[in-house]
Amino acid sequence: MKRVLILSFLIFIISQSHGQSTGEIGGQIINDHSGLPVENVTVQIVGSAIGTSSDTAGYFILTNVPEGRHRITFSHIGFLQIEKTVEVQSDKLSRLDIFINPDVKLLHEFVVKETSPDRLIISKMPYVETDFYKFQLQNEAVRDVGDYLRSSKNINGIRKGGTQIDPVVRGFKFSQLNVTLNGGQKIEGGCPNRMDPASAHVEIEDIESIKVIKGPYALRYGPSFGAMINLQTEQKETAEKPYVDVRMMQAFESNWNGDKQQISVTGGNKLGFITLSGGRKNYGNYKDGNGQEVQSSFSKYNYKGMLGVKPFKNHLLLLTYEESKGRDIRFPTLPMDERKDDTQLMSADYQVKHMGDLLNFINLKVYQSDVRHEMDNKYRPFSDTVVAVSIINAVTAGGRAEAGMKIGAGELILGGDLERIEKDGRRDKNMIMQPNLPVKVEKLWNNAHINNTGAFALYTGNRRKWEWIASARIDFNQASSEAITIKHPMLGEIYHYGEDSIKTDYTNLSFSAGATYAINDKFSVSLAAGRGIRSPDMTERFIILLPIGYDKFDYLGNPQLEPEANNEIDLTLKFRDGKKGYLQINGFYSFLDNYITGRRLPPALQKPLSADVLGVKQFYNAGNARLRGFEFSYSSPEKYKLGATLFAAFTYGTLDESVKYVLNEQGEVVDDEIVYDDALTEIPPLESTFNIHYRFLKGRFVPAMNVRMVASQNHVSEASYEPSTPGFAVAGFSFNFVFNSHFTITGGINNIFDQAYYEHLNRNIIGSTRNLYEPGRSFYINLFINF
Amino acid sequence: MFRNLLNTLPYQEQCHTSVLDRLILFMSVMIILSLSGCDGEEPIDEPDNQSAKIRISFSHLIDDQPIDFDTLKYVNEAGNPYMVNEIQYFISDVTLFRNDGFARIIDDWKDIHYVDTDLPATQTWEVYDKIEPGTYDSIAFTFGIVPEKNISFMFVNPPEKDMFWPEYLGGGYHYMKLNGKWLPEGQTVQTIPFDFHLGRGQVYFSYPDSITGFIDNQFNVSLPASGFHLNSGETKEIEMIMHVEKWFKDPHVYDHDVFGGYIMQNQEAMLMVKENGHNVFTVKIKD
Repeated sequence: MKRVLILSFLIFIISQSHGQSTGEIGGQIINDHSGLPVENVTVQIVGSAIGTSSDTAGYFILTNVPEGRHRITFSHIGFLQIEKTVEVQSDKLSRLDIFINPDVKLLHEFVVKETSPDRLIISKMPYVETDFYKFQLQNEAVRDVGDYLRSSKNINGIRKGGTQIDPVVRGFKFSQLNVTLNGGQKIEGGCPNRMDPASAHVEIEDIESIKVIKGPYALRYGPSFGAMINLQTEQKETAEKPYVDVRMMQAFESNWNGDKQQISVTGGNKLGFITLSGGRKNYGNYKDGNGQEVQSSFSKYNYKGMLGVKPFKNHLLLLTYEESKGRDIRFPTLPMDERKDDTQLMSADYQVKHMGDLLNFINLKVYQSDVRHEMDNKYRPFSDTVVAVSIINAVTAGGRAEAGMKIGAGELILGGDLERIEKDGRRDKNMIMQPNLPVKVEKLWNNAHINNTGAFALYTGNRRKWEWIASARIDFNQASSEAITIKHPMLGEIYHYGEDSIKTDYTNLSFSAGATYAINDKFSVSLAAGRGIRSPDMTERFIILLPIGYDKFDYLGNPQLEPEANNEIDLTLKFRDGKKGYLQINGFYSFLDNYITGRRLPPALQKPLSADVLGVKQFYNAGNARLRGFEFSYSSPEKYKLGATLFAAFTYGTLDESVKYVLNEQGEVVDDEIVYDDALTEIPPLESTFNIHYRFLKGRFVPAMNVRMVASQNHVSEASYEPSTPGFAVAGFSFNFVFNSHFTITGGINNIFDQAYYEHLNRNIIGSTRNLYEPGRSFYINLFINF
Repeated sequence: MFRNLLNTLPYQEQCHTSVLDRLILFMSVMIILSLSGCDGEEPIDEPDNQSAKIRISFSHLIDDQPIDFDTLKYVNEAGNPYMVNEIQYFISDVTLFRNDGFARIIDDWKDIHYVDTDLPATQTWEVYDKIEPGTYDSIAFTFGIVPEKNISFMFVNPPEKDMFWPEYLGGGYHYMKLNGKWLPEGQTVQTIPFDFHLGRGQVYFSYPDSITGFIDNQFNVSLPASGFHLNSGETKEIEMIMHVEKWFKDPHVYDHDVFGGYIMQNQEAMLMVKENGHNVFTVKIKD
């Protein structure tokens, strides 16, 4: 609190030190077709040297504009240029929100422009908000969304196999992250061991952009705790003239001997459009830097259809259906592999915009995400004694409605959302050692469901050099499950936990607020604070004895868990200069109430059900935990041929009080002791990434070198016996060559020096203490064809 | 580094620079403070002086001598020459009785302990429980596992899981596997293996395929002369000694030539084993 006061005082002093005799023009630039903000739009006062460009959220501000009428142009390659006239008054901000239309003819040039790898547009949002765009994704050899996010700045991930990496943001993970698809659709993965996190059910080849908002600030898209990750899939536009757009992709990666293809065909006119797309990928095992083969193969394919209809001007009905299939996805760190994944994603959206002077827009969405997940231990050593097969069905259905309206110089968005998760699954065990024994059936969940109904309000506004945002949401969370039981084929019920019907209800109030003060047109300071609350997830509440953690324990759900709360403050400094580059420094402090983690249960109380585990842990509220850290991002200006970027991030997490069970040499628990300020588990170490690149041929050919340096992680949990991890440095080379408006080639070499290394968050190979090493050197090439 | 970078900015006004100085200073202080984790004085974890610990070791003797495994050198009460290859067994619900009637059951962490003569680590049990200091009169335990706790498949890892008792014979787990060989009467060289196993017995309508019920054969062992005094902070060493020859002699003389090598479906034999078990164990408490 003291720090907040000091900062507020500083900002007050700063605000008093500037007198102004001119006015300002500011606003947001929106893509009229998609409703998404457009960044990098050049904003210029006609006949003047005053100009700027829009940031990642589409915002722009022109300062020191002389009083009077001015004509302003808005231009961006790929969009039709427009011009507006504005009256500027002394010491006042003239708000100007702009809708611009894509210029279909110039889209290919737009692609050329977007190949610049070094952009770091700094949002005016008072927190850390990062966007990743399709052209960035296309530069990499990545196999899934989590894989890409982990390779990008200041985000980490948990690797359990060759693909489907689980994102980690500032040490927040799993249900602490709100992962949404297209601004609201939720996906509940099937696997209790998170083989298939939500991000794994969206193919990265379909992604148009990824937005990451760090902190409990994105309350518009559902309960937000540690961060929000929105996956925006590609959406085509209507156009005055009928058009057909075909896009193809072919990629190959050595080491894995992996290849993937995708094709997308869109036809459209002014009334609507239809897109059909499909893709497949097939990857083998990779070799790590030691030459060891890692059982990491997988294959996937998907197909998708999207229909957009414009029944009226400014109205859009969007229907989307997608099926994706995963087959034989190996997870050498888990007791099972994913044998089969069948996912269906369905959604219907209705969007209305420019409704009048008051009402800005209305968005309606309904969706359903069905995941059928099947896994088994066919390739595990202990399958010679027990063959286990798990089948899980997870259905997430929901909807949301929101309306945006202009209130003064700002915008108020009001809305509500609901989400229902149903999950049922079982594990069949065939005991090989006793062949006459019937198959043993264990429930993983027992007809469990969670309903979450929420309402939110979000206000963004600005005045002079201030930009602020405030939001709040209330969630009514209700969960129930039948009693957790395990039935033995001959002995009947051998395990029973809870009442016949377990129900919990929570009402959670989350809120956040923040402000950005523009000290001048280059430098700003932001402060944001928020409290985000999340109810325990399905696994934490109801899981029945499965080894789902990084450690070798069966986990048991706890229906009596209290919601976990994140009270966070973020201070962010942003500097942006066309000659010096873009700089952002952020420090954050998170105080977590009712932190949810696992603690050991005595075997006298509960023994594990899974082979090769050390015991049972049950989820509980461990009290207070703290996360703090910083992020640093620098990107050189685009105007220079030689460019560089530097990113660094560090997070330090502690749990106020935890119990350490003392082990003897045989690993048996012989005593316990209290550990204060113990490290939180699975916190990524200090890391930085340096990139240097050069733009040849006006940016059409851009080779780049990357070096990622990761410090050792020695701040590890004593109570959990978490092992430390050595540091490493790994180098890569990439290039991007836009041959013409139809052909683009990207490629490169990952891990050039064939380093043997593993991330702190990588899991161990099952049944051993060996770490899952990252892939060794691999060459990759991606070819994109558009016409 | 950031400070130098900002100082090079040509468009930076002086007043902005001073503001920047202050902000960067504040930022640095905030980061340093956040990393220092200075959240007040750390409480000191005081050692617990109000409790004591016990450590139980297990040894196995024949005729008061350590067993010479795999050697045909012993003769039981029935006159069978025999050898012992291995002994595996469970004891559970160890209870310490105090003279005021207080009974302290050892089950804060685990209530079933597995002992294996091939696995030295199992022959010492460092008990997790924090025991109340005082004078204890005696120690007792269950040899085997009581039926309520003897749940099939509850052990998923070896070696305990290898003690499973077949489901068609009643399920659960063996209480004991005492494996060895004996020299049948009339033989001079050729030994026969015996599986001197104890577990859940069966009631047969017609042997061996018609079972009408099961009988639990676990039994309580009350150790003679097992009183001891436990001081605060002390770890008491308790040695439990299995006298293997007693399994075959008191009150029943067990004859391998009569019961053969396999008794898991022979409740009469297992009942003899159970009843002989009452005095198999003695205890030695180290000061």
